[in-house]
Amino acid sequence: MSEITGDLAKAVLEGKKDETMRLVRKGIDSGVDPLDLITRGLTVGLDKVGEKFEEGEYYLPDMMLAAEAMGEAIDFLEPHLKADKETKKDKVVKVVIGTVKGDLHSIGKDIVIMMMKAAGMEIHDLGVDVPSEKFVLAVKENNADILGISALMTTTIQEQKKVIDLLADEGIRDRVKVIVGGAPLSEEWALKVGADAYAADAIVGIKKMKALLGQEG
Amino acid sequence: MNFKPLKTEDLQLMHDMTLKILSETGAIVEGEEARDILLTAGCSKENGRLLFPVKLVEDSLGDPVSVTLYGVDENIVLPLTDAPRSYTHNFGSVSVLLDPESDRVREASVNDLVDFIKISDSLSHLDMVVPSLRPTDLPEEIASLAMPAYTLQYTSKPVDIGTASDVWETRYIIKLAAAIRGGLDKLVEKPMGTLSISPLSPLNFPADITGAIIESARSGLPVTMLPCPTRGLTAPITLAGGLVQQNAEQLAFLTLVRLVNRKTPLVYTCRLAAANMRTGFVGGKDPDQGYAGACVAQLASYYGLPSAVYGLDSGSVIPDIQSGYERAMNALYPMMAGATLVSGMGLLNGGLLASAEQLIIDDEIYSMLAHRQHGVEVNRDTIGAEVVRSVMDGGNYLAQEHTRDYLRKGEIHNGKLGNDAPYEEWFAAGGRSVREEARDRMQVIINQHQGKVVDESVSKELHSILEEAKAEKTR
Repeated sequence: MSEITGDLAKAVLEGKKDETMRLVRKGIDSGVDPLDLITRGLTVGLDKVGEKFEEGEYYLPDMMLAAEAMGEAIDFLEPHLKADKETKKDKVVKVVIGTVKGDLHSIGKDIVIMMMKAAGMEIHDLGVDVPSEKFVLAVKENNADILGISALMTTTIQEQKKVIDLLADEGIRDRVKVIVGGAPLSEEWALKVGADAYAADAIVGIKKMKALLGQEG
Repeated sequence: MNFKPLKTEDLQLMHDMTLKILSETGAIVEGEEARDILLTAGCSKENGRLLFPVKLVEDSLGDPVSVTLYGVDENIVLPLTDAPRSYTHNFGSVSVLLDPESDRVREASVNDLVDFIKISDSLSHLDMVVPSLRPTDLPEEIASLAMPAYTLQYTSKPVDIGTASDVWETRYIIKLAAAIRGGLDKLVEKPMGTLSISPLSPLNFPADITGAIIESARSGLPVTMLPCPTRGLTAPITLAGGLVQQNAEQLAFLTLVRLVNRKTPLVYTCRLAAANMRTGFVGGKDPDQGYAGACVAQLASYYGLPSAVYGLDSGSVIPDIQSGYERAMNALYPMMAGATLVSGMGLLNGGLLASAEQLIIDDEIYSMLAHRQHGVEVNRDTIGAEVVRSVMDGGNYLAQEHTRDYLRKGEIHNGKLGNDAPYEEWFAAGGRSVREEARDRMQVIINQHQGKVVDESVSKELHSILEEAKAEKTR
């Protein structure tokens, strides 16, 4: 068993999706506990990816490929897991995220999502061109801890304020931490529109989210 | 100048692969009218995308229309097709600037915008004024239209008419420019600039964008096709792949324009950037920007179109040494390759930050880059063997007419900024950096440059167009 989990960690570390899938299938077929495949294999690999990223050896594509390999493996393993994880799920940080109305840019948001997934957060991605009402509804429905609002264009960043204002109108502004992102933005802008934080890139974003929730950066 | 990074066979392969991408992968095209136009012309639907037949694209490329821009003062003429040199323009649509007093960033106001236009109008190496700052102290609905509205009032140079992101914006931008020119017919006859439209990358034309393209093409005004892909994020990471993908975006754009109006002049404009692959941030610290610009100059010329490319840009957030060397490098490549329009004056941090001091320093950088753009004139008179003879016979070079005449012709570059005095002299004069010199010059320009003074009636008309636009938007 230790051999297969070790190989699995290595496959994730190297971002090899096909190899990762081959190994999880083999693990299940030979009766390995699916939880072991995750905690002693996949997660170990992804943690190592995070370390290499922090050390400057890995870049975004390394992260993305590892996260994709891990994601597909988890999707495959989930039906095999016993239903005793439900209680644990409440403790997972829940994030609602999307790009504002009138803005179709997604790449920055997608990088943030990837980093959040790697950090073990639960993501509800609303996509692009999202009206304020939809953001607010998703925060309510998912009981989100964090709302991420993305906008790339100088013409659409104003929409971020509309979303935050609507949260206040609905009386739920205090229930969720709001973080804004997008190239034309600044800390000053974040304060002006009433967000809790602004991050220039995904790495800073994850750190700020953790700080907002009182977790370690 | 004659720097050609791409070989003839490279251009041919890039063209062939572009047609392959367009005909086999296709592009996302939204908007009923655009889809109808393209499907009627022979495009087909597959996987939610439109495929562009090779013949349709090649037909659309035929007989390119030449482009000439005129100043707000019609006597200023910029022939973009067969341009005698590279022209320059400043950055556009930035909403934060570096405050020269505090050295901190702050949001731009209408006053800042007017100051930047005045500075741009005064600089001798800035050929076209692009609406630069997006004022944050105006109602949000009209902030983007206010940029061209003010720019048109304070300069006599050619003006980039504006960035069109939907039909509404396109209509009002055209209306503003037509008001300055005295009617749409006159504007089409002597356009002072182009309408810029950016699709999304990769190969994605949303409904608002196709609406803006169709509306612009119908007007007959010159259109700037402006894809802005980022290598590694929204385009292949390789320079060759990034160039080909943006070329496919250009040709899909061009095909739609030419199906709407074959007489619409087009400018092949590329903003191919690279991301920081650890953060995903596109900050402008990228020596390939300039090199890509040189390649684009060749691609555009392969299609008989004028080119507009990145020029002066840097990842730096202040006008410092990093900014100096990165800008010089990024502007030199495309100018050596004969790019038609080179951008970036006054820009920092990959397009996110504006600086008036940098704008003034950039005028100096361009004057140095442009100094040898025509190369070296080699003939018997420039070589001056006779002058050597007469000096050797007992004269001196300073006392030669040859020296005086060629000095007057600009044979030695004579700059306005920067030091070349010995240390003691420099120190005695205050020991100032080029940035401090630029700051002083900025104050002089803002206080003294008269520039163009627009008729009150025209100014009123522009403001009433803004009010009308606002009313339509908020209705």
